[in-house]
Amino acid sequence: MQFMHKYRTIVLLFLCTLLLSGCWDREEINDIAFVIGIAIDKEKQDYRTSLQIALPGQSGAAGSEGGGGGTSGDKSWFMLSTTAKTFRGTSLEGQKALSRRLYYAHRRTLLIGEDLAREGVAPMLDLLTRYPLNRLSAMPVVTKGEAFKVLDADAPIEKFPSEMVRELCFLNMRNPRSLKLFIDSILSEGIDPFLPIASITENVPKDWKDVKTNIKLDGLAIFKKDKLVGMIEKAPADALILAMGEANTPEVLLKAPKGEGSLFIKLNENNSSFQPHIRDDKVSVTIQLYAKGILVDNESDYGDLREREIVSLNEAIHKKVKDDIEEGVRLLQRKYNADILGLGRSIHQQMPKEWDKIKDRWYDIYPNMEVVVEPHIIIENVGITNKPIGLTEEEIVHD
Amino acid sequence: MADRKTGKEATPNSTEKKHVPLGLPSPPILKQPIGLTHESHMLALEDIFSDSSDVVFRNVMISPEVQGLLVYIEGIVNSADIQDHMLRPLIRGLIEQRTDEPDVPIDDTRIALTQVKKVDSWAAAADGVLESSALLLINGSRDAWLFNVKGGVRRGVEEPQTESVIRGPREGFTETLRVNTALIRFKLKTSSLKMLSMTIGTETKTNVVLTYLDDIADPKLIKDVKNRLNKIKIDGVLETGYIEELIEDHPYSPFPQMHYTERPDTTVGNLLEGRFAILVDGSPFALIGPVTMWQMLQASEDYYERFFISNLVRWIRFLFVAIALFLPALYIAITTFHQDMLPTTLILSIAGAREAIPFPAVVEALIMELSFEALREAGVRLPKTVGQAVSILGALVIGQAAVQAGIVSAPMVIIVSMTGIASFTIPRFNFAITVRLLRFPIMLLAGALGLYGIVIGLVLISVHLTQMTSFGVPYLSGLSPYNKTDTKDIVIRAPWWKMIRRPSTVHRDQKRMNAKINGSPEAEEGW
Repeated sequence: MQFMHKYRTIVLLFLCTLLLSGCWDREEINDIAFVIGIAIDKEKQDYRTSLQIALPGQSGAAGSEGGGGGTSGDKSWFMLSTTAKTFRGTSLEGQKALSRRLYYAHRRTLLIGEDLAREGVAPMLDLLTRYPLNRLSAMPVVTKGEAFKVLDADAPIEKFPSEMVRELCFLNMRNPRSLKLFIDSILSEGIDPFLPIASITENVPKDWKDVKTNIKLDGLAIFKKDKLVGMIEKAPADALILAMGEANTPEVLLKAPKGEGSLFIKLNENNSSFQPHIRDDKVSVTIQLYAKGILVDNESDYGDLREREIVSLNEAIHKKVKDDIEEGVRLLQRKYNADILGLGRSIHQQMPKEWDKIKDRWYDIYPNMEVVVEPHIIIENVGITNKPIGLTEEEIVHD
Repeated sequence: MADRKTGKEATPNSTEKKHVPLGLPSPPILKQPIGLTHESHMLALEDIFSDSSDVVFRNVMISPEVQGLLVYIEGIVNSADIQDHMLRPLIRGLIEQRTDEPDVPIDDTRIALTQVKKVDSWAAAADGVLESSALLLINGSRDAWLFNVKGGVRRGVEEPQTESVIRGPREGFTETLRVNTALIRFKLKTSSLKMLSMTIGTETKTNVVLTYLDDIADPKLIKDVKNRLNKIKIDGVLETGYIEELIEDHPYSPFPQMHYTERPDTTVGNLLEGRFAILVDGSPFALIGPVTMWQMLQASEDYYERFFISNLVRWIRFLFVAIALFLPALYIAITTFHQDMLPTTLILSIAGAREAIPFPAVVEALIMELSFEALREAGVRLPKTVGQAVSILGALVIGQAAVQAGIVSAPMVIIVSMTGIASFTIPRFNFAITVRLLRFPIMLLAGALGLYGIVIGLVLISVHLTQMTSFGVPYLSGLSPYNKTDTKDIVIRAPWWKMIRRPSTVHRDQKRMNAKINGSPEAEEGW
């Protein structure tokens, strides 16, 4: 009978726990407001936080007939924008106007307004990282102008604009800047943080009918510690990403070595490494860039069939890449004095003893340091046409 | 109950304590010896078989002087046998020539039937008649003769309904015990195959056969089983299930501790691994023990197909057992406690589907799982023609209308169907039922405590399984206690030329093949 008693006791204990616990933490999925993106701005002295909240009932999922508590037409999300003295305060304000509990575990993008970024982002980072439900893999992005305007774009291709920002981040870089990487570079020696820049564009020229706003990700926001110091756009920005070895098959515009027009060369399998040298207290860093090139487009009248021509194309791409990167690095050194490439970190990692000697003077050394760019690019593939196809042999300019 | 656990039954049986006589009161005539005269025979038999329209009394004149009485039960005997081998020789008066001794007018040498028995009590005579013998009584003799003329219509050997295979024998056990023993004998042509016969059931007098391979099975195990079988005192045994519940180690465990099969090949496979089988007359199932949990996840076909396929199938089964047990619980836990664990797009589409559902996820899941169980039960019990209507109703009402009406969500339907399919992948029906049963407490735990609750459930089940035994063999043996050679047929199904030894639960003659001569790639023992 001992056996029976044992079982009875166990069952009894079990029932007790059910009474005691009362399903704490239980939260039905339809009592939760999924925050999928957030835009943070500075308004005078206050924070303005705009939450992008998913409306699952509107998102066209099967079996959602008759559901949906949304009031924003046929959009699958709605914005909730509040202001408060502190960042956390905005969240509490927002909750006051929301019948479902704000749930941040699925927040995957953070849009930081330009003004706020210039003032410094460090104070708000704590809230974004302290609570375990916050994702460190969320993508922070700096916006041109106010952040909530970007978050409120139509962005018709994705369900949510925040999702679009995220996807763009993945297209932009191989290892997009996540919150974790961003904080890491704020705190590390010898590297300054940077973030991609998001801005609003129109999908068609403005005076067309049915204009929709869209999101564009272009350029790099340069930080010094946690403060935005400037923005680099277009070619130098792309070149800098290439120099980091983070570019996703970039295509480089090249003026034809002879004749009229230009060509595009795609750089596959690109990779880079930094080699610091210190000689007689003179610090220099060599950026080695390796890539394989593919001629994807020849809109010039320059022939690309002969070996001599390919060699000169190769020379041209080397020069172009070298110039672009050097220009970008010059901007970083002279204009912003910010080391987003992590040249200092390369010294720190490869010559730790030397780094200890110079780390206090690093920002004095950095602007005038010599940076050598050595691209190693091989054009492997010129396509199957071997020459500009719309031109007759007589019209093609040969080397 | 404690006694059964240890396998030793306490000496004073509870029924004996209360002095309740087992069985129905029998007519006093049964205690008397057989009388001398024809009239006394008639009177006694009419008393024993009163109101039994199926008992036939047939007067035969063995010789002009000697009156005989032939008694048998219509339907359970082979009438042709009685006619050709008993009535014909008796009436022709073949005996006349040798009636030197009137007291012994016939003997078994003269009737062309194989099983003949001489009895001298009414009890024995009546038992014989009830067990399909023809009883011959002779005026002037206190001895009666029982001729086995077992017959009657029973189902023939057919393909097993509950365990079909693609590759493997198509024959299955029938309700006739001797057909079943023969099916085993056909496959095992060795004198070490023992078939211990015993009768269980005071009213049904069911013939039960304990079969095992003498030189492989553990003698202690066989002794233990024999003891347990002998202790059974019950009025009737209609199915192997009676025996199973009466001899198992843990009557309060939801897990089956014996497995049953309709397949002679499965039975023989188990006998060869040192297990025993119990055959019950009237049941087309063989009860096999001792078992481990791994056996519950093995199908006979695992051993007939090449081992690549068997391994794949076996792993699918492992996976789907986990799904059958935990999927609804995981769904509940994740949607009500851990919404951060799913990818954003997935959680949003689940949220969208659940938007209009009035119930909490746990209630929704319980409703769906219960209706699925009800549907399945209805489908099993109903006649086949009505059964189709049930499946249409189920598919339409539960599958579609409930989703469209916003009572249950579409993901829930997917979860329930997945769970249903998963539980059908378990080859042993009794184990599948257990898994289905345990799903409900785990779902409740998940609804109350989330993943934490699921882990609690898993831990409790594991604790229970590790301390469980089946006829003294640990239920998880092979992995716990660990045995390297046994794992060859647990986690994987090793190719036959690797499974050189029998499972370690057998203590005698563990080697089952000679590795050196079978031409295997690694003609050596071990792996």
